[in-house]
Amino acid sequence: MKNFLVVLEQRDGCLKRSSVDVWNAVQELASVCSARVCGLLPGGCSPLPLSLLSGSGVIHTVADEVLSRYLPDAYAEVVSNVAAETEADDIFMAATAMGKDLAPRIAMRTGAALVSDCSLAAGSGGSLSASTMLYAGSVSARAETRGERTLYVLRPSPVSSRTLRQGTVETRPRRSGISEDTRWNPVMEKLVRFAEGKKDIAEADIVVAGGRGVGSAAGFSLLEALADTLGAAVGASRSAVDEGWRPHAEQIGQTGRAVAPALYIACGISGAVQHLAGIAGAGTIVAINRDPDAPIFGVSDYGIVGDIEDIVPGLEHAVRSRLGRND
Amino acid sequence: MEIAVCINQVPDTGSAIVVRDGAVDATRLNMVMNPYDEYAVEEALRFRERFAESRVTVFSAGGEDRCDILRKAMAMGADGACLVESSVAGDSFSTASILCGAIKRYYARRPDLVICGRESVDCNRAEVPLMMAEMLGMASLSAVASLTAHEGYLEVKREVEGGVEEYVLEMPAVISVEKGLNMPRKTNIKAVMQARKKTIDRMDGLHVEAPKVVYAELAAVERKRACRFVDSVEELADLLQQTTGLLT
Repeated sequence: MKNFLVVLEQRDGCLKRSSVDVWNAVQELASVCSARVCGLLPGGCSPLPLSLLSGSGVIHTVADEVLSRYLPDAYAEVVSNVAAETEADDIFMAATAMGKDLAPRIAMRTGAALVSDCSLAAGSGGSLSASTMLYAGSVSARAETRGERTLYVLRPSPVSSRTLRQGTVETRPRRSGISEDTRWNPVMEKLVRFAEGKKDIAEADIVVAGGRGVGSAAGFSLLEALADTLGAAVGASRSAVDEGWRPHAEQIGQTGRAVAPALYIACGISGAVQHLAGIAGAGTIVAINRDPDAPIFGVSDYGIVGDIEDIVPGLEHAVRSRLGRND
Repeated sequence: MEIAVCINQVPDTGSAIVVRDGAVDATRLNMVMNPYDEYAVEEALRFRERFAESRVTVFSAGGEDRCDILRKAMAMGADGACLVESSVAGDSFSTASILCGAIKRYYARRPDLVICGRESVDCNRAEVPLMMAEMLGMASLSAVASLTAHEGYLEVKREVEGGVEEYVLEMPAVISVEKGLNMPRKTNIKAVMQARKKTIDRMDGLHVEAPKVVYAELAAVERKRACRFVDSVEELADLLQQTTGLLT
C-alpha cells in the first residue's frame, strides 16, 4: 500500500482553502490507488475544520511558535523529516506562493522528482498520471517521473461537485524536531496583509477581473462594487497591472497567478493566451467586452457586448435584485 | 561582491507555439533572453553600481546559440559571460546540476549572490533557482518582488495570497526575481558593438544529473467554449442564477 503525504498550509491558524482542496483531491485519488493518506500542517491550526476534510487519515500538526509563519528552511526540514518517518511514496501540496517556494527545497532534500503546477488523475493499476501546461498555458504535457518518490504541486482546480465521503480525520500534535537555537536564513520579519475583508483571487468562488478595457484605475471601482455584491474577489489582466491600475498580486495569467473560481467574469479583457492560462480551471466564464471580435468570447460560456461603464453597474443591479438586496 | 546571474534562452513571447507529433516545432521560433532574466541582469548591475569592486558574471547552459543572449547581457553591462556547454536537454534538476557545477568551478569560493529570473517562460517551472541553491548549499528565496541591499544582507519582499511577506536574507544567497522588480535598461548600438568583441568564457565536461521528469505527449491546448451572447444584464443574471446556483 502506498503512502501519500499532504503538506497543508495555514495563515493565522486558519487552514487555507487551497489546502482543503488538495487534501480532498488526494483522498479521491487515494481511494482509487488504495493509498494511505496522512497530512502535515506546519504551524498548527486550532481547531482544524474537520467537517471540510473528507476521507480518513491522520493530520500531524507541528505547532512550534517559530513555524507559525512560513520559514523556508525550517519548513523544508520538518516536511522532509516527516516524509521520511511516514515513508511517504508521494508528497502533495497546493501551488500557492508558499508551495512554489517550498516544493523544490523538499524535492532536493527527499530525492523526489518534482512535478510543479500539475493536475492529477488516477490511472490504470493505481498509478498517478500528472498533466501540466507549458509555454504559457498554450501546450499541455504529461509529466513522466523517474525514481521512487514524487512531489506533486497541484494547480488550483474546481472543487469536485461529487459528494465527498464524510471524513474520519484525526489530528495528532507532534514535535518538530528542530532546534530552537537554529539561526534560520531567510527569516520572515513581517507579513503585511491587504485590507481586511478583501478576498484573495485564489480563494474566492467568484472572481471579477478587469483588463485594459476598464480604462483606468478609477474604472475598477465599478468592478469592486460588483465584486462586493457578489462576494467576489477582484483580479486583473497583465495590461491592467502594467498600466499601474492594480497591484501585481491581483494579476491573473501566466506571469501572475492561476485561479479556479466557479464563476469568472472578465471585464474588458481581450483574452491573450497568457491570460487564459491563468483561468484554465475556471467554471463558468462570462465575458463583457466592447469588441465583439475579442478572443475572450471564444473561450467564454456567456458573452455580452458593450461598454464596461454600462454593463457592470447594470449587472450589479440585476444581481442585487436577485439576491433580494435592493435598496 | 561577486554576483552570478543565470540566464536562459526562450522563444519570443510573441511567437506562436506549434506542436507537431508531440513536440514543439522549434524551427521557426525566434529565441530571446528569458524576460524574467532581464530583471535578474538589471538587478545584478544595480548591485555593482552600489557596491564597489563588484563583478557581474552571466551563465547560460546549452549550445553555441546561447552566445546571443550572453552578449546581450554584456551589452547591458555584465563584466563577464560563461557558456556552459551542454547538449543534454534535461529537466530542472539536470539544469540546476550543471549550473551548480559551473558556478563551483568558476568561483574560488561561492559567489555572494546568485540571481535568476523567477521562471523561464517556456517551461514555467520556477524550479531551477531553488534547486541550484540547495545544491550549492546557499540560502535562497524565490519570486522576489522588491529588494533593498545592505552590507551582507538583503531586505526582500514577496507577494503572496492576500499580502506581502517581508524577509531578511543574509548573503551568500540565491534569489529568483519577479517581474516588476526593476526596469531593465535598454542596450544601445555602441554597447552592442562592444559586447560583440568581448570574449565569452567556455566550460565543458561538467557533470549533468539525469532528468527525473520527462514531459511527453505535448499537445496544443484547446480552450474553445460555445459562447452564448446575451442582450441584457437581466438575461445574463437569470442565466447565471440558473446555471451556477451562485446568485441565490
